[in-house]
Amino acid sequence: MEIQIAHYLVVAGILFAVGLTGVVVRRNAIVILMCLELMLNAANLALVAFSRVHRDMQGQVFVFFAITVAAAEAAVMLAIIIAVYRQRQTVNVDEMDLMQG
Amino acid sequence: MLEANTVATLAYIILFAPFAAAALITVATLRSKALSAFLSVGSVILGGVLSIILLADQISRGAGAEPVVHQFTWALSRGMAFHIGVQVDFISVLMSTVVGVVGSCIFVYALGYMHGDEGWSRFFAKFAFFAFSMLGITFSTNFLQIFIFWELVGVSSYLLIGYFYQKPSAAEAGKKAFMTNRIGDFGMTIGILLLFFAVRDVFGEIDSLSFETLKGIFTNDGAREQLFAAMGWKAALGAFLIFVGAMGKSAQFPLHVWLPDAMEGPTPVSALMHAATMVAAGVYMIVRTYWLFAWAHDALVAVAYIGGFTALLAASIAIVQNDIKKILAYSTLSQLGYMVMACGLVGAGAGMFHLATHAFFKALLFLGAGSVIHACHSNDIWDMGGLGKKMKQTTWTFWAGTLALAGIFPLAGFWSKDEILAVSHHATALYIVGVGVAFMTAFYMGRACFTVFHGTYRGHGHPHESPRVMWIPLAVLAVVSIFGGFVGAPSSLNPFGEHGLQSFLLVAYLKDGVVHWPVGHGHVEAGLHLDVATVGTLMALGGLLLAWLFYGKGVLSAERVKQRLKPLHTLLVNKYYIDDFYLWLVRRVQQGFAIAANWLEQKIIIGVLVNGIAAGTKDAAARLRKTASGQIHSYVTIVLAGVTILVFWFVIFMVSE
Repeated sequence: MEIQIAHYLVVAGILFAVGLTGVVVRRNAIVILMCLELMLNAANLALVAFSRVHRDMQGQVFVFFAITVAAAEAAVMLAIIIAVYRQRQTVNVDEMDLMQG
Repeated sequence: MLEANTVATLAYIILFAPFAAAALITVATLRSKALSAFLSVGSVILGGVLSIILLADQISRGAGAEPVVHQFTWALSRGMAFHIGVQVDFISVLMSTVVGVVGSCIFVYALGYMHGDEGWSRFFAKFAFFAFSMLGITFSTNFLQIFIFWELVGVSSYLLIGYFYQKPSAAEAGKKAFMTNRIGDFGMTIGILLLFFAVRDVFGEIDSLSFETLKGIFTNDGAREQLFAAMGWKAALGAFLIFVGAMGKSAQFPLHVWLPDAMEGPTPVSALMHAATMVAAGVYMIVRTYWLFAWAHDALVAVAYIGGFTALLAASIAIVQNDIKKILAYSTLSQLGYMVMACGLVGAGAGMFHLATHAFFKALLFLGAGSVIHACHSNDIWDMGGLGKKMKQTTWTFWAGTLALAGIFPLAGFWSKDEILAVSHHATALYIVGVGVAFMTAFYMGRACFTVFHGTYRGHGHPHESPRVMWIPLAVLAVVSIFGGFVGAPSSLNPFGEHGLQSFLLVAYLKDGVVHWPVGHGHVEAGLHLDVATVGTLMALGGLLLAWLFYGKGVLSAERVKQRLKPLHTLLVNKYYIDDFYLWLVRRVQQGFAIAANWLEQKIIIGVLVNGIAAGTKDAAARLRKTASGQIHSYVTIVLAGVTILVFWFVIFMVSE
């Protein structure tokens, strides 16, 4: 069976769904962060797949940037989580409601 | 003959000297009484001297000379330019001379009259500002400028009438004057706008507020017909509404009620207001814009009858007044009615002439009354009497003013009253009114004079002659009141030429000098009109004689006449109940409207529109803020729901197409 674009997209879709579910249902901030990364990479995978199909390198270049930014973002988010933990001794997002209106 | 530039510069100096004085006093010299008085009095005397120079220049230019107009562009708006500047021609120079000369006398007199007053500097600042406002009207080049200064006169009169602001009646009188004038000014605003837009619609974007432009249109038969065809009935309405402004300032019925109350101000203020400024403004504006009235016949008829009615109404009230200043106030009203009536009867020249002579003798009478009040510390003529022996200067000058006002040959009033009666000769009803008013004028002035200066003293204290600074202005005004009328005399010695001042005024408003009045036509030769003059003089002498019989000789008893004519006397004492009617109108009708409007404002506008909307917004916000829980999960769920809906929408509506 030849691997086709559809397969890549199905895998990307599954990854995205798994990530989204994790973001919605989990309470641990670090797990939520990891799930976010999962969703991001699902999108990256889809981009690379389309890039191959269209024989256009732009998609892959875009993914490079996305990964770079995601790395920086992950660093910032981890730093925030650590800071919050130091303050409140918890990483449970249910207990973080300072932004309540 | 002076250069046009010099003429304009002199006019600017005349105009701005009092303003500069008022400004300087207010910001710098309030503390120094001497300096304040010097600035204020100096600025007006300067104006008087320069005005006389300009008047001499106008005479050398001859009758019908082109006006000197100098103006700046003040504001530009889409296709409209508003100018401000000076227009120097015979009418404006005559008016500024009257303001300057009469004003100088009154200002000097005020130095004595206001002596020791706490608000001295404040008084002189306001006084100079009043003169500035009036001169602004005098030199206006267009309707907008005249309207601005018109309002300034209103403001400064308010300040001066309410000068003794600790006194409730003075504060009330100031308010009354201001508000009555505002009613007139409102009419004037609409009148000006009607004319402005009509002219702009017909002739395009020209300087359609300027007097000279409008005069050009109105004196050109073709252009005028075109404008009137476009305006229809609005032409007469516009002219009448502009006259309503004059009714307010010149205190014509039914807007005359403020003027007698304005007596609450210090006497020099009354003198200035009743002689050279304020009340003169209305008549002056009619003469200034006479090209408009001359062709709006319906408006002109209204002007004539309103003037005549006011003259009669005020003269009859003056007969029963006991306050010496009130007598003079009603006399002013009546004389203003005369002038307005003359204007309405196509005798703008006669009206303007009477305005000028009246300014001198009425200022004289007011200042004389001030001198008497100063001596007796009372306004009531029954507290005076026999002052002739104690106050020689005041007495002879007051008599000179009285005879001039009554129109005895050859005093100033005779010449101008003669002109007015002559122009009214062809309108019989108004002629009878004019003659009747002449009789009543002589009677009430005679009554005042005999009561105050002759007989025995009835008051308390020891009256004495006023200081020199007060009676010298009286003497100057008396001399002008006695001899001033000769400028209207047909004589080769007359500086204004063989036909007198009248010939300048006739051509000053219309090139050919002839205007047709619906009832006949109003071109009257300047000079002496023997038939009219005889009737007028007989009436004046008759009035004085009757007054003498009543109050001098005591042959007739005023008390008995009063008993016989009780209802009439009550009606006159109550000023025909006009003030009471206005008060009722304000208390009942206007107050009803005010209550209704207040309810509408409180309940509907504030209750529903303002507070209702605010409360609704606040309530909605309180509900909405509950969704902002601060919980990441709820946010994510909402975003997810939104994205899901968008995706479905996209799939169903976009892809399927």
